[in-house]
Amino acid sequence: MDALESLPQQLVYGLALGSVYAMIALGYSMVYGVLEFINFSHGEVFMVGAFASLLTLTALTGIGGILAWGPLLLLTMLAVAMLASGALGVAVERLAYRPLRKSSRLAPLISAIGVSLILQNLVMLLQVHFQGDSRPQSVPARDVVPAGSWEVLGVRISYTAGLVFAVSIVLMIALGALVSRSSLGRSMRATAQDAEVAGLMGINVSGVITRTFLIGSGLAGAAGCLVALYYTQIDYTMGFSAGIKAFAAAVLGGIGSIRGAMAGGLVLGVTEAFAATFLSATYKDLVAFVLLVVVLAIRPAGLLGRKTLERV
Amino acid sequence: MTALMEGREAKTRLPSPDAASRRSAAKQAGILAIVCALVLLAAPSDYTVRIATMILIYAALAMGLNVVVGLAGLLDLGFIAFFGVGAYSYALLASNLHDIHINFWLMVPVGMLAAALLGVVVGLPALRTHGDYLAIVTLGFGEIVFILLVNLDRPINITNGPQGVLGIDLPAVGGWQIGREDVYLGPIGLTTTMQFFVLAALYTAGVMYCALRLRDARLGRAWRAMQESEAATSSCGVSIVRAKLSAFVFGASVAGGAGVLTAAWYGSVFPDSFLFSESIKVLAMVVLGGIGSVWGALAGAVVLVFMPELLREFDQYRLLIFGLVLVLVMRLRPQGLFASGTPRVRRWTLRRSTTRRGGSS
Amino acid sequence: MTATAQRMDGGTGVLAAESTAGHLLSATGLVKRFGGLIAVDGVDLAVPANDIVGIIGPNGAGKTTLLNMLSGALAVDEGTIRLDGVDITQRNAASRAALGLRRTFQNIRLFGGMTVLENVLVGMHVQTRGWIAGGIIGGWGVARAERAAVETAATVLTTLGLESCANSLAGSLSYGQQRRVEIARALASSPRVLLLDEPAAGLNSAEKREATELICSLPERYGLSVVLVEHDMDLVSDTCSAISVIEYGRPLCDGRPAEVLNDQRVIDAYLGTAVVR
Repeated sequence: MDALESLPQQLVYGLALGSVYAMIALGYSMVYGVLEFINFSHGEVFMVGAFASLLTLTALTGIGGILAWGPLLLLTMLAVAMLASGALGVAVERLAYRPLRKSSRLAPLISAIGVSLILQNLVMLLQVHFQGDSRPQSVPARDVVPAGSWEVLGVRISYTAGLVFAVSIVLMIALGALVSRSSLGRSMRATAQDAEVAGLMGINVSGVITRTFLIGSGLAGAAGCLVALYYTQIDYTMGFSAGIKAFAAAVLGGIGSIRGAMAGGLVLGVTEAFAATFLSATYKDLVAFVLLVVVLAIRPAGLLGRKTLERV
Repeated sequence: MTALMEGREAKTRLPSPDAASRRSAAKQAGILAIVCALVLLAAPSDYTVRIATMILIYAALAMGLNVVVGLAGLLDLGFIAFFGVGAYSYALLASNLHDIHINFWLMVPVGMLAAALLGVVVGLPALRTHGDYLAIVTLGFGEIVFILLVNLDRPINITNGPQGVLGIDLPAVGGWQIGREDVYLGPIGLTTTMQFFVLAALYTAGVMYCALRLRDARLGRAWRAMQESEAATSSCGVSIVRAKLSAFVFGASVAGGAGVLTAAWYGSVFPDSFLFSESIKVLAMVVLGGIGSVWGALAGAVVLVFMPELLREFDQYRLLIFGLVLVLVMRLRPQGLFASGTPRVRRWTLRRSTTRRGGSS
Repeated sequence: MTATAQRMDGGTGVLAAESTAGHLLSATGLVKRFGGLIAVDGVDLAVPANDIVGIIGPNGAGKTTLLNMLSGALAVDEGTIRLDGVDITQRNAASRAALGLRRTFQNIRLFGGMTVLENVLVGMHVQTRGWIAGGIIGGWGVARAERAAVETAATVLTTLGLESCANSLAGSLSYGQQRRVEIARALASSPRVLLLDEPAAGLNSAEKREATELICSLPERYGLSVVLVEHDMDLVSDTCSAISVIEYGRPLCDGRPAEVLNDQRVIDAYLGTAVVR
């Protein structure tokens, strides 16, 4: 059977997609862990990262020379995307969330929705301003990563998919080490446990929150860069659905838990890829959400509930 | 306060709290109806009336969601799905698509019931999940409903997919159909748009009455209590399961009825009207107006329907400005535009009246 | 466990090893585990009608866990709980409350955004009528029950000296008033058993005296029994007719206040600090 033979291949696609979800989900999860707040504008931060990396790519290939050399180009794109998204995330927290920290739970949520609208339309308007329309942009990924693939046990892994795996694994290991080893990680965990007590213990809670947004948004920026290279097409609405899925992934794994976000992202990505093959492309989103609802109905605290895992 | 416990005469009794609540709710719903009548008289154009009708329908939705989010404290991010179920039940059972033509007045309760059933389905996992997990479950349900509406045109055509349903029946009263042609009652002329406005005004005033009544009734008290402490509420003998499900069922029914009404008004439905962004819009109305406040829900609907219309000439900048307004309002008045920040207190009369039928003094 | 529970007098011992028949509220062999930790390990309890019994013990002895099991806030791992002879072990908190088993909370759990009167009316949920349709339409039964509930609530609030703040937000009251509102919320439903979880915590000495008087008056005035979990030895000895002591989740001893509070094991359990009488 054709579909069955392609199962390992779909697994690769699913894992690549899932890695991206996981990286975005981490931002949701970390912010939730510290502030108990769904940062709805996070998907837009990811989208901005994708656009930032495309701008970098265009600018540097325009200059040419050593700057257009693949590996260097890639690193620059990643760095710019992470910095742009990270800075954006911090700015959004300062301007739209921090003033609301003492109000009801819903106020920051609405504010986040407002930020989301602002960012989406800002990018759209900039697109219109500079090029006359807001069509999806194609990304010349070949300038960065050559076309082609490895063949492992009959499964083709394209170079870009390999890149997605490599970058996401490195970043997630780095994050894990940061959270469990460094003093920043300790402060973050303490703030997640009880922000008030952490503040009394001399932890600069606002500083911790700022850095949480910086790291989470930076990861989303990296995810944006990877998506631009892997799917070679980006548009200003891409943040919305990716954001919802990644949020679903974060909750699926148990929001507030780093490993949960990773697991949730991978499960969701693989499920979607399989659903697209075995059912139909139109129903892949349906399967993702049904999975989400069923998992939460059975395990109300997500796959890896917060009781069994450290929160960030 | 000495009057409180005197009870010298056996006949003295308290004024009926139920009657007081009924009077207050009827008065407020009546005010809304009068305002609607004034709008109708003062409206310069059909366009204005159309906007006003839209406001009323969104206000009904916001009042329904306000019960779920504002009173019961259950964050629902997929509320528009109930609206969609109501709209599609009328569209499928009263149009040429399947050549079924069920009467509008029968379909209003059917649409409410269909939405209420979905409300129970959504509510069941909600009983086990809390806070933001619940939010994502409701979001997931909302997306599932949307995806089904888009994709249930194959293998058997049920919803007609992305093309939507056209040619939906008008509501009929006897041989006369609401919205078919302009009507003249002596000097007063009612255009087809105005006729639907009247229908929407009646529905929304009814929803307002129900919402106000429930808020102060036994169930509303249980909802508000549950929002503050589930443990303490269940220790008072309130079944949390029933209270939560009832909140979902009430909110869903309100949205379902509004859906039927809207489908009849537009004469067509498309899946795109039931996107996640619509759920967010209704939620923004509730929060912007002042969470937990019935009039706030109406005010939120006025602001959020009017503003994009006012900004129509800026077209491209519309959503950008909308986003800025959301952020600014939350920053300057996080409790909502029209709420005081402290909970509204309903003062109960504890003073006894001396007359036998003294309930109404 | 029964071996450890030594009875010190024939009649009013709380940790009844033998039959619990005839008692209003009784529990036998209650066990609660949290993972590997056994918080409550084989506790028996027998509460006669119209009586006040106290449960004391050092911090972390499992008093509140025991009370949570009695009220239904925590599921029971082993053992049975009977109210007036009816096995209520499997019933949830709401159902037990409807049967007349009410409680207060150690850290006050009032509905702060609702008025004092509304708080009490939520407490009278079982006495009032109407759900969705009933709430909207009203009708005779609903209206009559509402009126009766407000009358009863007003009476209870007056008795507890709270009538002047009936229309104030519960969250705006002083700590001592909030404690009384919590008791009023439970009392208004005419419970058969009232579980009080540290009702004197955080009260000043004048308020504590008032609380003592109030608790003492409850059985006679409202025809109910009180189970009192408390740290304050004065309050316990002034109100309870019988006390049981638990330590590390196990019963230590039980009996009359004077005897129990002078028991060497109890003094040891408290490191000889708390028991001064």
